Amino acid sequence: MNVVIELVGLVPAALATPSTVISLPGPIEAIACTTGALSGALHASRKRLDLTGVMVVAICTGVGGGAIRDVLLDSGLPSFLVSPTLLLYALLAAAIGTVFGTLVHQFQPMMEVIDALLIGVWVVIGVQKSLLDGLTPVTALFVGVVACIGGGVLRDVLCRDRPEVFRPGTFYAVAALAAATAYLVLASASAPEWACVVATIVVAAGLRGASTWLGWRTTKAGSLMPMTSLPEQPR
Amino acid sequence: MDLVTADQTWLLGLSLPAWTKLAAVVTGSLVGAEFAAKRGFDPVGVFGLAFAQGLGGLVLLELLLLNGTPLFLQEPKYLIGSALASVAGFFFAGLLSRSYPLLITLDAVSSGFLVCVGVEAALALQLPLISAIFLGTLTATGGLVLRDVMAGISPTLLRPGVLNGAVALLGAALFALLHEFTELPIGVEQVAVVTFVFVLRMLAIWRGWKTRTTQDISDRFWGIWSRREEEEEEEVTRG
Repeated sequence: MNVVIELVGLVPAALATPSTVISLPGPIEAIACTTGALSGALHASRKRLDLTGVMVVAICTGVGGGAIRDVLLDSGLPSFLVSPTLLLYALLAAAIGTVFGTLVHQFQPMMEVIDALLIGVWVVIGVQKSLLDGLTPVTALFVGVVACIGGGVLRDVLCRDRPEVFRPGTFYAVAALAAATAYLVLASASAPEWACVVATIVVAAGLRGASTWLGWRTTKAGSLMPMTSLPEQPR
Repeated sequence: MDLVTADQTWLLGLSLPAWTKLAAVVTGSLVGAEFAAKRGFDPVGVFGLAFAQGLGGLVLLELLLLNGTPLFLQEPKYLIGSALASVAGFFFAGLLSRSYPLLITLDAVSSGFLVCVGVEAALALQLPLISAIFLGTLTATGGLVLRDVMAGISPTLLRPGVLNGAVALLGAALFALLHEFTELPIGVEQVAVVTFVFVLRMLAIWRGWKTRTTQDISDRFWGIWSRREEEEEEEVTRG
C-alpha cells in the first residue's frame, strides 16, 4: 500500500509540521460557534423536537465536529471543554434559536455565506492539529474533512435522518476535501503558512458557493455495471 | 505466548498478522460501500458508510481503551484501503451486489479476525474475561452498527434476522475461555476462533437460522403462580 503512495508520488511521506494551530480572533470565534449551533437549533425545531431536544441538537451541531476531531486525535482534552467560551456560545445560540426561530430563519442566506467561509477554517484547524499530532498527510486530510462534516452528521443522526452530506446535493464534504488537499499541496510545496490558510478558505468557500449558486450537485452512486434487481438481503 | 505488554503500542504488536486487520477493514468497507450505493447515497455517502463499517469497530475499541491516536490515523494504509474499496463500491456496485455471496463469505472471515483483535486487546490489558468478551463482540459488530446509525436506519444488528452479533459473542466467549482455561498457544486459539465464527455464520446462512423478537413469558409465570395461589386457597377452604 505504501508503495502505491510512493508510486503516485503526489503525497509526501511527511510534511513540515505547522508552528501552531491558527487561533481565531474573539469575535470570529464567537460567530463561528454560534452559526453552527444556530443552524442546528433551526433544524431541530423544524423537526418538532422539544426544548431539550433542540438544545442538545444545537450544541452537538455546534461543537460536534471539533469534539469528534479531538477524540480521534488524542491531542489533549477536547477544545470545547477546555475553552471557557465555546460551550457558552453554543448554549447561547441554542437558546436564541429555540426562542427566536422564525426571526433567525430570516438570516438563513447570511448564515449560509458564513458557513461557506467557515468550512475552510475548520479544515485548517483539523489538518494543522493532525500534523502537529504527527499524522501523515493522508490521515490529516481525513481528520480535516471529518472535523468539517462531523457536526452535521451528528445532527442528522440525532434527528434520525439520512445525513445531508451523504445525500445527493450541493458540495459540502467535497469542498472540504478539496480545501484540505489544497492546504497539503501548498504545504508540501513549502508555501508560507498564511498562504496555505488563505488558499484553503478560498477553495472551500469558492467550491461551496459555486455549488450553491451555479447548481453543481453530487450525483447518486452510479455504476459501470447495471445494479441487479435482487431484493435487499437482510444482514 | 504471554500478553503483558500494556504500553501505548500494544495494538500494533499483537500476534495476529497485521494483514488480517487490513483485510477486515477492506472487507467491511466493501460491504458498507455496496450498502450505500444500493440505497442511492452520493459519493460522500459511499465513502462515509464504507469508512464507518470498515473502521468503526476498531475505532470504538481503541477509543474505549484510551489507546491514544487510533491506528488507522497513524498508518495511512487502512484509510487508503478503505478508500479504494469505496471507489470500487461506487463504480462497480452492480458487480459487488452480484458477488454478494462472496462478500458475505469474506465478511464471515473478517468478523472472526475482528473478534480476535478485540478479545486480545482486552486480555493484553488484563481486563476481566467478561470485558474481553464484550470488547470482542463490539469490535466485530461496531462497524455494522455505526454504518446503520449513520445511514439513518435502526441498526441491523439489533433487529431480528440473520445471526451476526450472536455469533461474534460466541466467538469472543470461546476465545476468552480457551485463553483462560487452556494452555494452547495463542495462534491455535485464534485459528480455532476464526474457524468457529466462519463455520457458524455459514451454517446460519445455509440452514436459515434467524434470531426472533423477544418472547414475553411473564404471563406464563403469572399463570403458574396464580394457579398455585388458587390451589392454596382451595386447601385452606378444604381444611
